[in-house]
Amino acid sequence: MSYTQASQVHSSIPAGAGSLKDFSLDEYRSSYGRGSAVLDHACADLKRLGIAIQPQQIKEWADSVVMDSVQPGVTTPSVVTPLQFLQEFLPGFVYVMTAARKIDDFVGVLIAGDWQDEQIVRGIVEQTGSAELYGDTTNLSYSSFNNNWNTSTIVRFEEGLEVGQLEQMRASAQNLDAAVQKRIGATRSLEINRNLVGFFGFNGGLNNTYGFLMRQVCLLTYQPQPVTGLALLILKL
Amino acid sequence: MAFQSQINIEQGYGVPGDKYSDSPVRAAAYSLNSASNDLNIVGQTMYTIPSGLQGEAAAGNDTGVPGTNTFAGLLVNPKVYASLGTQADGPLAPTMTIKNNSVGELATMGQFFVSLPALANIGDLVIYDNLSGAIETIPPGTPLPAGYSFGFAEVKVFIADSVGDDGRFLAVIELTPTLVIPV
Repeated sequence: MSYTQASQVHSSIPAGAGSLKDFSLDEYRSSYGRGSAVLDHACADLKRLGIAIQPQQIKEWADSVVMDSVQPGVTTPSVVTPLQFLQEFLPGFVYVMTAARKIDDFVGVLIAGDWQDEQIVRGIVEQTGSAELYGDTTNLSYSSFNNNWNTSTIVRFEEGLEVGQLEQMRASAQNLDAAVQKRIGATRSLEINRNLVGFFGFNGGLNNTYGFLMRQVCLLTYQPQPVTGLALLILKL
Repeated sequence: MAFQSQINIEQGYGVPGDKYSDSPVRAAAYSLNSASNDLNIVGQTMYTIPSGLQGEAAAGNDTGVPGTNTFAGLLVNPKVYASLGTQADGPLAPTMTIKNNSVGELATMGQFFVSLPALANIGDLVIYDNLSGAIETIPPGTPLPAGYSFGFAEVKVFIADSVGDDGRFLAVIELTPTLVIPV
């Protein structure tokens, strides 16, 4: 390739412009007075530069443009691009976790009875009898049994949700389903409570609802019994 | 906002301004017209209707005389407002403040989570600063301090260890509409 390539011509001044020189408005005025002759001559010179403007047009502009002060912008000066046009929202949300609920792994799940029941009842039965020395003519001693009932109170919790129309629409605008989130929250809070009751029991007085870590009758104590109710829940009305 | 660095056993208790329960609720929509945008804080500001203007509510009580302005209620329901973020941390920063001239839901009845500035007890009465509308509490039987008006509410649930990073306490108050003859 050539390193002496001629530059492309983008514009040029016609040969006739050679006689032009810098003119100030005062020079025009000194030459042509202060009347419209100044404009006429200025327009004639501009025409030789290839800028064709009629003197009458300039007079009309002069009527409509006031140039005795700097025109401030119509808009308020500002840095330009709003941040929202420069953001990339990754899909989805990072969920806040709660501690693992392991009571079902430890003690299993037994589904029995009805929701409206009052007590879980476990019977205890013991056998009695003490064998005696044998004799052909002696009376036979009898054995027997005795039973008791051990009760635990059924603990019921409730948690609900409500979703407003505007709330749901606005949450969905950020790709979040308000109803789903509240449903997760309600369900998980019930599970958290069930887990806590499973571990720590529920002290409602003499209801004997012991947890996995609590002192079941005659069993070892692993954790102190809550003073009243479920220790972590008693503050919630 | 940082991600989670600690795993709790329980979920968070609630969000100020949210309904606590399905108790009866009375609320109305007002165009907020407070002395400053900064006063419009959801879950911790109470409003009155200034100078008998209908449809507009201003934080606090500009007459300074309790019971003079019509009580408009507590600014609630943070999930229906457009978040503008904060000046300091930008448009995605967590905030409970909304601008004037937006429509705010003001409740005069119901059980709502709120943010209290100090320790309180269940049964304490809720009052608000006449200048800012910011809620505080006083024990029952305590005279209404100068510069405050009664917020027609009492503390229903208070958890002392529910203090947040901002030093405020999460609580539940129960608003009950009560007519008061102006003093």
